[in-house]
Amino acid sequence: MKYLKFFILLFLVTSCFDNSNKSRLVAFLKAFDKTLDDYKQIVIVNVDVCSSCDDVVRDFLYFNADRENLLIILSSHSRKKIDLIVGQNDGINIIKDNEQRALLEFDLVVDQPVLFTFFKDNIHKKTLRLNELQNAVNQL
Amino acid sequence: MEYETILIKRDSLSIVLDDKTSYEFLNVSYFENDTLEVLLSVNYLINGFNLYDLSSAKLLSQVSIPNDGPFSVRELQGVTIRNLDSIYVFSKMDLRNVSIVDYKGNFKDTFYPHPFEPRNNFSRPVPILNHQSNTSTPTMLSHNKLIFSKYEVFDYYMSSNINSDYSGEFYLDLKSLEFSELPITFPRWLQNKSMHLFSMLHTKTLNEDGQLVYAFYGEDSLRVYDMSNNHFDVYLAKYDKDNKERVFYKGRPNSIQSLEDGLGNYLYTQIIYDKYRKVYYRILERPIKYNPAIHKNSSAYYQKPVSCVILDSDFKKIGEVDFAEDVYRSYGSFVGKNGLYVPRLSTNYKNLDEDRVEYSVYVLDSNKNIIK
Repeated sequence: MKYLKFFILLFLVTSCFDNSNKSRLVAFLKAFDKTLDDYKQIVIVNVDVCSSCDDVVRDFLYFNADRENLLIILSSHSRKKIDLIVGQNDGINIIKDNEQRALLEFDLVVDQPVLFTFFKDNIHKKTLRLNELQNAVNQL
Repeated sequence: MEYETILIKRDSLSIVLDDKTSYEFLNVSYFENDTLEVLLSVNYLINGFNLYDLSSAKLLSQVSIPNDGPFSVRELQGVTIRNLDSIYVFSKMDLRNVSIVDYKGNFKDTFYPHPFEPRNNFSRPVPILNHQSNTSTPTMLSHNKLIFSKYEVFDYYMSSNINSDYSGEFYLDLKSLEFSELPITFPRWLQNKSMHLFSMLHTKTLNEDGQLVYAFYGEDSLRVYDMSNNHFDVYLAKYDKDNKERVFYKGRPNSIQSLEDGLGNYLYTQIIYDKYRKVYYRILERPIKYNPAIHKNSSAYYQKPVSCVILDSDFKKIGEVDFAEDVYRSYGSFVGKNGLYVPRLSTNYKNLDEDRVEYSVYVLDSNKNIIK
């Protein structure tokens, strides 16, 4: 019985965590006229954290910008920087968050990239290193 | 305390940015020859650099280095200017080959240093080298040696890693192409302890005597290493109000603790030697109170107010200056003939512009000349 209570509590806490993430993510996407339903994974990268890592982000975009189920959000305080990183890899599955709303308003990302993966009604949030991103989305 | 020397803002530099350049300017190098004074800014967005004429603030050249092929640098980390016909370009984390380009980007040479073997004789050469080659920890040329700074890839919050085996500096002998480590280790008071990550990193410069002058972000002193006789000296070089006690960590802090601590402390982010005026500038960030509603990540450091401690050629403190708040950033300052250039790149700066970078140019003056 004791264990059952523990697991119920754990389930509730996890659900709350999921719901909190989900509602913030939904609200953020709404601000950019997007919805969760169209994607299986969402990646948020704060490109202001590491200047010398721009190439890694650019490579990631090159390989993934046209993946249908993947939404890529680039967050920066500089619109110009995002545009320069995106370059010719621009597409409808890229959000340019040049006011850093993912960081400042919706608490969805801090320094390291974040990957949200959707399983049925659950959201799995994973914080990654930049060089882990490609493998993480390949696992979809 | 009142000092005899101050810095006065005498001039400004405004660089108009082209459409391939963002305004970060975190990795800049200064160079002068008989006819020109230039500022080189590494432009990571084009895997290359921009070179500006300081007298006109005009772009002299913009170089994009190929990522692959016979003459390439995969992921440019930084550069060292020997002269405008010979600029060493270094890949990120990798010094298995080093190339030389001219200021227009023409490849001049590529050479292949021997594998790096650390001085503590671990079993095999190290394949990756987290060399910094940036403005706070520049790779500097002295006596035909390239002197690099490196930060380790180990966990700084594991106190057993903070030991005397560590070496924060190494050089590449350009004649023998051999790497050698220098005995620049963590200060004794820090060994086998751990504190805020930034406090454990160092910055460096070289003076005209070839002495390596370095300092840890979280330390109140400057250290001077004379390579010719293997001699060390330590000099107090702190901001007067920096009387905070050091806080050591028992383990890895969470991100909020780390941010709160980093914002709440003095961090000495740059040491610059001014060969024209024979002084040292120690740039620092002063503390601000952590506000979770505003301060979300490490970008918040760019909101900290910036100051400068001035030391004479004998490392005696002769002045300290607080720059205007919400204007300056503590990274990316440099010295030119006209003075100390401090970037107006605080994220709170009201005139921050995506298409322009501004510097204030400060010159030394006597405190007596100031009317109070």
